[in-house]
Amino acid sequence: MIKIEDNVSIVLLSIALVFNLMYAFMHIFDPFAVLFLDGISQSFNGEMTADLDAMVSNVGWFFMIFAIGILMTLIVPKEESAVFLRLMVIATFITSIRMIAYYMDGQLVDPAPMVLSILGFIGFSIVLRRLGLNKGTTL
Amino acid sequence: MIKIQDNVSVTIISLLLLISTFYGFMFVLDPFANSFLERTGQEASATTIEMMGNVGWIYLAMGIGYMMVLIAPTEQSTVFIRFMVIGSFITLIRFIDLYANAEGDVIYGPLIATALVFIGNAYVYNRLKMKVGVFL
Amino acid sequence: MFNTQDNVIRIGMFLIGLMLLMYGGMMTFNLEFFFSRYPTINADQTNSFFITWTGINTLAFLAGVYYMGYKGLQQGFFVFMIPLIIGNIIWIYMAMSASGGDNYTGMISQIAALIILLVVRQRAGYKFSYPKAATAWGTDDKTSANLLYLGALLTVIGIVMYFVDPSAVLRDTAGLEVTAQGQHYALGIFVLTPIAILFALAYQWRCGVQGVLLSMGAFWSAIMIAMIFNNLAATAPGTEPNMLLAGFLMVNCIINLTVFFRLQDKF
Repeated sequence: MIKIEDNVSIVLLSIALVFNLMYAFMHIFDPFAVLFLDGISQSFNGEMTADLDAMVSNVGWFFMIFAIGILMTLIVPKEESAVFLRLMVIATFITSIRMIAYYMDGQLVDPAPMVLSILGFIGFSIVLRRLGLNKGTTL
Repeated sequence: MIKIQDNVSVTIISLLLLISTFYGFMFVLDPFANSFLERTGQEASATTIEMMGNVGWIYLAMGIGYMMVLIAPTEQSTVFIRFMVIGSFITLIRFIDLYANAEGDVIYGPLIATALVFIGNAYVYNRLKMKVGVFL
Repeated sequence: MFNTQDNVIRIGMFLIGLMLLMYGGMMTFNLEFFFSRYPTINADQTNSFFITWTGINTLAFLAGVYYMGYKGLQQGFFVFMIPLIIGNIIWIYMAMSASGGDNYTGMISQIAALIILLVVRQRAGYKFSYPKAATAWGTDDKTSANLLYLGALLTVIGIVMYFVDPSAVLRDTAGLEVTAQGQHYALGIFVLTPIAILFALAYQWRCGVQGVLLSMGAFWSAIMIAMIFNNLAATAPGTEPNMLLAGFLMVNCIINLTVFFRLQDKF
């Protein structure tokens, strides 16, 4: 079923899958979302307004979709995942930069999201390289 | 430079790239984000604006993804396009649910855009023959 | 990278890319930080509008560096960037003289970028002779050639329009105000940058279109269309948006994208 032959990549992708699912549920379900925002955000006042709820759910569903994408990566030949993995490297890189800035700025009071996004970037970069997808025919 | 041979797919992907970029900037840049919330009749809190930034950056990353689809050989984009088909389908279902429960005046733009994005992705997926895969 | 084994070129272009990424990212996405570093610049909506615009331009230049990272250096990039940076240095000097600002970071980085570009250009072996292509714009596609002529004409019209009425854009665009700093930003956007674009167009007219310049134009256009729609959507109800500016930019975007898509299989 799993088409990728490199065990290290499988392990890294599986870990990323679990973390994406965890973050998805954390954002989608209100009680988790309130606790999460309370724990990490300086600006959150404890009240889950309708607009905030909608946006947090959007983020959660994006994590869910990314988890599905990672699952698909595991079960197809590696060549078919090249663009998706490149996207994940870029997305986690952007997220890392943003989280570092937020943390330095004091808006993020818990470093966990920053550390996880940096680990995510490193993990996806390793997978991209190990699967030989960084040597593409781009451009 | 563009590796996809099918002009219809290139056009649709370019439009999808544009929509992703449009929504990306709308959510990432504070004046547009505030204006968006005002139009939907809601008051922006600092946390909401931060969350909108998260969503916006995902849209911008997807825009970059579409750009990579254009310049990479078709088969390399299979998982990305599948991912976008499923993602836009889930988003569409969520939006239908949100709009069905909405009260008062509502703006149907985001709902229509989401439906078009799903149809566009599914059509590209079909035209580029990606659904005939070695899945599972 | 950059289709060369010369490490001076590689390091130089990496540094150029880093500067463009830093300034493009900061000016587009983190205006608060930008204003905190330059306290003499008023943190008003007019300046924010133009700084964001400059940031988007900078990201388009960065796209050119990425393009050449994969495809190799192209002379057109230098023909465009060197006049642009010289214009920027003059612009920053004028701005600092007027406002009394004492943050020289921007000025120093622009001078450093100019030196790096000149060194890289020299190492790449580009001469000051520009061989003529077989046809104008180096293509047989009449539609693309005519659109490029139209693009050049519109660029000239844009510059002339600024000199006829420098504050027109500020006065006619919802949310903007006629300020001295705003007018100075408008000078950079509507005169200095278009002059560099004219250099690039003239070069391509003689020597043939360059993939890096067309790709930068396409990248800029995709972002700009998104920004135009966002600005139109964010215009307060009952306020007339600046349709002349939106239309002018839109036509330029359509020209860029049409030419890019028609000629992209050549590069």
